[in-house]
Amino acid sequence: MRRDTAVLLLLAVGIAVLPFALPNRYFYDVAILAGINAIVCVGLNLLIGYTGQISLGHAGFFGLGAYASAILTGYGCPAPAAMAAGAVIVGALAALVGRPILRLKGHYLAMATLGMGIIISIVITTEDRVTGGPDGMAVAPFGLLGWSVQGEEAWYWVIGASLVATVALALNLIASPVGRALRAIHGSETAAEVMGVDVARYKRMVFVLSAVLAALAGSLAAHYSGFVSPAKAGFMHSIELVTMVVFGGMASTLGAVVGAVLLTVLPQLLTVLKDYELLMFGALLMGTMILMPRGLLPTLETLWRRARI
Amino acid sequence: MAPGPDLTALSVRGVSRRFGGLVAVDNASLDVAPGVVQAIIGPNGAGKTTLFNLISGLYRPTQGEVRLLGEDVTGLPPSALARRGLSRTFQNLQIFFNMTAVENVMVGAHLRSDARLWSAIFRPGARARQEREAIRDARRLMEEVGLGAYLDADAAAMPYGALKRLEIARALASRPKLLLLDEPAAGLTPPEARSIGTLMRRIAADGVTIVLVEHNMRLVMGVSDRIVVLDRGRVLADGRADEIRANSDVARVYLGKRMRTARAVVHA
Amino acid sequence: MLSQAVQFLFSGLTLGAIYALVALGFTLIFNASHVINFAQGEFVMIGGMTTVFLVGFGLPMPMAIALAVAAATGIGMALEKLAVEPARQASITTLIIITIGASIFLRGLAQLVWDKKLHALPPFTGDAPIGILGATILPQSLWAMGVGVLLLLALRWFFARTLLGQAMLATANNRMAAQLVGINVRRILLLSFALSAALGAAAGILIAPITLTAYDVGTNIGLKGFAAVMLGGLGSSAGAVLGGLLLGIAEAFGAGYVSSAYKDAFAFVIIMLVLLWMPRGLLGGAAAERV
Repeated sequence: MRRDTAVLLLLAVGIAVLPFALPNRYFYDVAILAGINAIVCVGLNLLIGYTGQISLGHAGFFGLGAYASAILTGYGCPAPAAMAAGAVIVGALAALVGRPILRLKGHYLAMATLGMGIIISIVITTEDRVTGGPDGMAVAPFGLLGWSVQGEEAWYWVIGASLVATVALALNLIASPVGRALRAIHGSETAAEVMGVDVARYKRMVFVLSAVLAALAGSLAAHYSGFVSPAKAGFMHSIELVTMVVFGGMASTLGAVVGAVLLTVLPQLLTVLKDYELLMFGALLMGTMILMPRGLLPTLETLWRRARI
Repeated sequence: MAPGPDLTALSVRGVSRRFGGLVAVDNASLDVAPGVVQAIIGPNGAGKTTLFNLISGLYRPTQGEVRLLGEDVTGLPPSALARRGLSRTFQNLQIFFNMTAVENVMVGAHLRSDARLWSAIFRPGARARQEREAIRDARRLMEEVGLGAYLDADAAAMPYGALKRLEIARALASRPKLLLLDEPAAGLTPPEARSIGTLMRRIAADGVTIVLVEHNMRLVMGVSDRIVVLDRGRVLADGRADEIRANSDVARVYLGKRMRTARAVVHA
Repeated sequence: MLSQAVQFLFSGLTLGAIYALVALGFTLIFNASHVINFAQGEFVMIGGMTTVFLVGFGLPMPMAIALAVAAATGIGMALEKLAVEPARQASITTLIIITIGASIFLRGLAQLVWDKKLHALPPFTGDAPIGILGATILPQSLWAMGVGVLLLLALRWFFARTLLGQAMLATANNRMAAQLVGINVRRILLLSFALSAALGAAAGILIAPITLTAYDVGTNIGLKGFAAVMLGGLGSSAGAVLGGLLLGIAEAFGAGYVSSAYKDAFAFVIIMLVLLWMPRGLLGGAAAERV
């Protein structure tokens, strides 16, 4: 528990001092995008890293959250209410879909979640009267009663605080009997069930929780950029999210944050390589996973512990 | 409903289970009185583990009825049976290798913990106190089953014999009324097996009913109050250890195979 | 009405043949290594793009095709040697991420070596449609179906009649046992990547004259191939072919009769429904977990 407090403190301090190193709006923008991805990844890591259940469709939930905010605020709904509505809709959908598909295992679960995500993104792309179709749609600023979040700096603090809250939530959850039950499901579903863990219920619960976090992050992202497009709900975005989780290190909340930040920043750095960008990104991803198969943070932790002995 | 003295701890009535054309358990019946150590023996493929899986809810019986402390529990999922006081260990270890040994045991106490999402996320203070208690309980339990040397170990770093005991500790953490042990001595050295026997008697003395599947005959004969012999899914004999030893059917089916194996070993 | 249905069936079978080849590629690698190779679609892209450019340099079509298949095979083997083999000890999830890295890498490579434009490969034998039962079919579709069937038969023969094919089957069934009887499991793994890349490249070359090709066509077709595998049941070759054909036909009929915008959704809805009833696909068999 003391370690969790240290992690949280480290993160909060890091977020608080980072602006001193952010010279202009572009850097703030990258930091905000990294923070939004990190929120999704911390939730997704509860599902993938701790419970051992893959999802290749979480961008669908992210997209639904974003579009719920875009569409509802378009009809004059206050932004926080639209955000809450998006979260409730996505939570209900995840509970509904999760019941049958979480019975599937391994690659079959990957297939079903992938299918679900793709269906969501196709619906968003096709129903253009509501969603603006492939061109996307504009989103009103996030605000209430005449006050609103404007500019990169304000958004930086909103996203930073949201991330700290999400990480606190995840750390608390994992350090509890609920977290232990989730990890037990990862270790052996049979033994967990025999020890009285209602496996189906817990899987559904963590699936819904991670989906709701993705939806909330989607809402924030939509309001921040003032624009949503179907790509945010698409297959490639789902893959990016899973990659961030695995890259940072599965079953490590801080790892999920680190993975999200690095894989958001890296493509920005690689843009100087122009045509070589994709090539380098692919090579770095492969190389890191080959050298550090457990992901960045768990590997570094092991090295650190060995160095101290 | 409190179990009266006339109540059986476990009652299996005419239970069958088919897998396609194969009848793994065929109309098996068995009554286990509270507080006894009941062994189930039989040659490989006799259906012992299948019967365990039927009792503990991992399989649904094709027909028949399972009663736990008088209540019909046929077809209930394992987690529901755990809530009614049943726990078990596994022939092929089902350890949570992604956790420490203590955490493994703590999962056994899952049903006694406050495992609600709300308190997990928003009441870390209250939870921390409960967790400290849960850790203390788990460590004490580990010491009781002879795992005092592994109190700070990761499950993945423990030797096979210790993992066998860890499964027993995890099962005991749920404070079961009925404990199913699937080959607890398999792969253990004779002294280790003997000490598992002592442990079983101690658990039974605390009032826990034990049903045991085991191939180590010395252990079975030494520890069991009653023995059921399965052969090809059917109950062949049911009685006290001395009755089973004297039963000619059992000698033919069970020991006969043993003798052939023994001869094969001699000639090898 | 009938002619329309026949028309949809033709386009469905053409697509289905391609999906089946890609799905078989997934199956070969999965059976040898339990890895889902997310770079499978890139083999398809490499096959199509290499052929387009070699033909552009003035090479005769058959030679361009042979070189393209050889190039893809080489890249497949390199992928196994350089990326999968060094990470043998890693978890399946990690291996999947490695193949995702490989697919990004190969896309980046393709865009460097070639460009980001769409390219058309000329059809093998002209583009005059042939009329059958009131419907028309492109000669290239016949090529796709015909070569698809031939490749299937060749694979069947390979697995049934050759020692190497039998060794691959044995490794798929039980890796440990295969190793014990002296099968070089690492060579089998390499071979499975080679074969799988060759199949993917063949699919890419067959479809390029119909649907055009570009450095990034691999993602979508790889996705469809994966879907076909799961529909048929992971690990089953017959399942891969069945899944591919069903997916192609479902897509063609869904696009024709329901909505072309929803044609992809249609296919995925079918897969999800099948998985609800048969959680291991159509021909995946039952799981037996021993406890």
